Amino acid sequence: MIGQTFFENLGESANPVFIKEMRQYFQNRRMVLLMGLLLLVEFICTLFFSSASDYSDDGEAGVVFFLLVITGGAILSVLICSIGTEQRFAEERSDKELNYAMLTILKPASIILGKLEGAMVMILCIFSLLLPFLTAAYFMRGLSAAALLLVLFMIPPLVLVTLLGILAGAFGKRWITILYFILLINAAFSVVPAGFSIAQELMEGAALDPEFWIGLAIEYAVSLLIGGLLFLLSVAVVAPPKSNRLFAVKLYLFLLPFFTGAIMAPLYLAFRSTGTFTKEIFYAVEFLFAGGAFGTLLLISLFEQPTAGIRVYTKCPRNFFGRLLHFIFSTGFCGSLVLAVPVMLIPAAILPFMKFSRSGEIGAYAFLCMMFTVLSAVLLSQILAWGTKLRLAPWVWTLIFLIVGNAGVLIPVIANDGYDNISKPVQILGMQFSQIFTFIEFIEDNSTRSVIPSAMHVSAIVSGVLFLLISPIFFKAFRLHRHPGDSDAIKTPTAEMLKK
Amino acid sequence: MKTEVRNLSRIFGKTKAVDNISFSFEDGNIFGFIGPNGAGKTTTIRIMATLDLATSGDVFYDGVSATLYPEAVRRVVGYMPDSLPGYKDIQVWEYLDFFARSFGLKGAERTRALNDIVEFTNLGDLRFKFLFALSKGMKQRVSLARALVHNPKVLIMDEPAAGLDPRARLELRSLLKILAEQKKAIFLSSHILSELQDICDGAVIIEQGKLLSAGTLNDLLAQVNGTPPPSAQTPQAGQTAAPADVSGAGAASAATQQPAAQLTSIVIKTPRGEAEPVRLKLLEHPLTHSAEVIDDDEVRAAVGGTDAEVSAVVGTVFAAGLTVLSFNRNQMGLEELFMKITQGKVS
Repeated sequence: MIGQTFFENLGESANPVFIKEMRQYFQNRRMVLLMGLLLLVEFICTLFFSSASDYSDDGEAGVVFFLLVITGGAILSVLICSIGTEQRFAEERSDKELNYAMLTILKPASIILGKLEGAMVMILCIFSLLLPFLTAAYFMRGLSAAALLLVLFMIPPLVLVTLLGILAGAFGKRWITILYFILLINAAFSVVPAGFSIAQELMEGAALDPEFWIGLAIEYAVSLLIGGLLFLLSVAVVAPPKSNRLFAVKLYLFLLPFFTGAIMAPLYLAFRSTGTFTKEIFYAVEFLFAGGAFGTLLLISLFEQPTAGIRVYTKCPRNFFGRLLHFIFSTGFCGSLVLAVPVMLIPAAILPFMKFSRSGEIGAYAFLCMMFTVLSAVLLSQILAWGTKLRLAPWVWTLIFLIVGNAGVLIPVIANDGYDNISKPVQILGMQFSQIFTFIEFIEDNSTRSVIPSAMHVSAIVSGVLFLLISPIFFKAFRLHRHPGDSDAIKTPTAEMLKK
Repeated sequence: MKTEVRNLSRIFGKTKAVDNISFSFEDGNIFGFIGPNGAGKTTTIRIMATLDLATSGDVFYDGVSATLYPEAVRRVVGYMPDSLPGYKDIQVWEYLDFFARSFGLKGAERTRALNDIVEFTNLGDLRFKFLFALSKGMKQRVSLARALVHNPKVLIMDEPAAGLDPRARLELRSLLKILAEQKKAIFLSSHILSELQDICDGAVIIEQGKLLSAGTLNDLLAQVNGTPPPSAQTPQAGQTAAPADVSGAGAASAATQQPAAQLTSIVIKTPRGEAEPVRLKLLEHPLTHSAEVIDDDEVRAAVGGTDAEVSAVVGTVFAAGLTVLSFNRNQMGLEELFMKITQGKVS
């Protein structure tokens, strides 16, 4: 009961959900068992690596052992903090325990925050347990201090995966849990091997130079922005039924490009003299988030459009500017539709602009923007199909995706005569699918020029299938907001309602 | 504290789960919420507990709207659902501590509240047990403790006795009586009507989302027998009248009123073929609530009134040369009342 005494002494101001979560973590036999298992495995590895002369002699023992230790820590963090939290949260939903918590004076945001805090402390605990092994790795040679600090790069993805687990658990539905596991498995097969190989490559020449800090800063900034969205979505899902429960999400999405600018601009100004943080990177992140944010706003609006409801009709301002603002922020209306469409077109419009202004060279950011726009468009077309009751068979939509998605990712490659003109960030993007690379390399051609386009081709397919699987989550989430008072007006299209 | 449900409706798609119901009750009493499965009881209770929103209408606690000020309402309402605590890796004490903290109780105040509620619900020996290790009755007590941890003025319970063994039911019943004595208003739904009958002062009966009847048990019985008492003002569904006050329109509590629901059942032997004229004759008597022919030479009559009045009726029967086959002093139960008022339909 050491844990109990410790948590009894926590300040009275601590989030009750955080305290409950910590009690649950430390009293869960499975978790204790997993932690014990990790320690045992790491201990055995330490004995092996410290005695294996092959590794000690060529100075690689430290690097390999370090990677093993942090990979073990990451896997355990995902198991305990993401999957564990998702499972517990989903159970709380199905057992109606969350309902009872909502009957107290706790706010939905406090509940999500408490769960996130608990998971973060657990990640900290797991990596604290691994500190002796990390120290041992350092003494095994071949590992610089900078390489050790690479562990900092692991924290943002772990936080995001945890938030994803919380979001999936917030729904409390079995099929959402299945989707969540599909996502995790896909990530395990694509991101983890790629991450491992990137980490190994980086560790070879790891140094605490500006590039290191820029990379770290960008990763944290981007994760913060995505994490904010996942957090707000989770809060919206668990919030009790009320009108405009998605308001915070919509506001966040609307402001996301500005947040991005506000975070990235100081980074750019601080590091531009190094020549590593280029304008292109700045624009790429900015447009990526702008496209994504407005695309998601559009997505929400598509759900809201057919079931505006009498409440919106009575509250909608009659003057132009008032109505425009209503479009953007009001739940239950075709919010943001008017604004989102032109903004969505901006990233796509950049592509030809770049084509002509840079003598045929496509900037990485334009490529990213286009890829994102294409994927968003495909996703939105599916949502539109649901939203407008245009129910085509799923295989038809999959086919449409395959055609549009593949054409989308291949165009820039073809336009630039293959791999040589694609800049480094795009190549890194392709590394996510490194195992598919290897496969295609084997069956097609050993030349890199053909591997990259094919890999991007495959990446589009995989991403599209993933989007296809994810889209029902959005469908479910964005229908939750509907006010009971709107049910009488469900069958009346908004446009007709406004004419009256 | 006065709890008022006013013109409450809840629509799910095309289904009207709750259809414009109104009633009210005050503290210090226990009220049953009765209706067949699918009648809209849980939906109403969820709205009263601020877990759901009404399509129209509202619930007021001393005039405070549950729709507009749910946070304020949650401080004065305790809700005990039909499901049991489901956490696995947490002890009873920690579970209650979580809810006490969630209601903003701090330091010594929280410790005191927890100690009081643990003692009241007799959970002292179980406080360091894990929830999964508890029996259903124990979990029910934990659930009650959770609902009471912030000392609410109104306690709303959804099927609290479901699945409990007789001992656990008796314990629950005695706890509810103590709470009523502490001037808490208790509103509970249950299918076990015999349980409700022993502890309830009044009842609200709904079917297909519509209010069929509401009032003290005496008022309800009188309504069934076609003699509406002056205290009951039960509106028909669809009306927007003031809510029916099931606590007796502010009069003395039902527990202190004359037990008008007490009836005596008399079975009378008549000459063959003369049962009907005897039944009609009996109905002419002012104390006869009902009379029915059960055979061509037997009539059963339900007679109300004091012991002396009933004796007088029996004397009249003997004087007419008829034989009394059985004489039963009984009280019309909630089950009988329920069966008379409802038709077993679901929306």
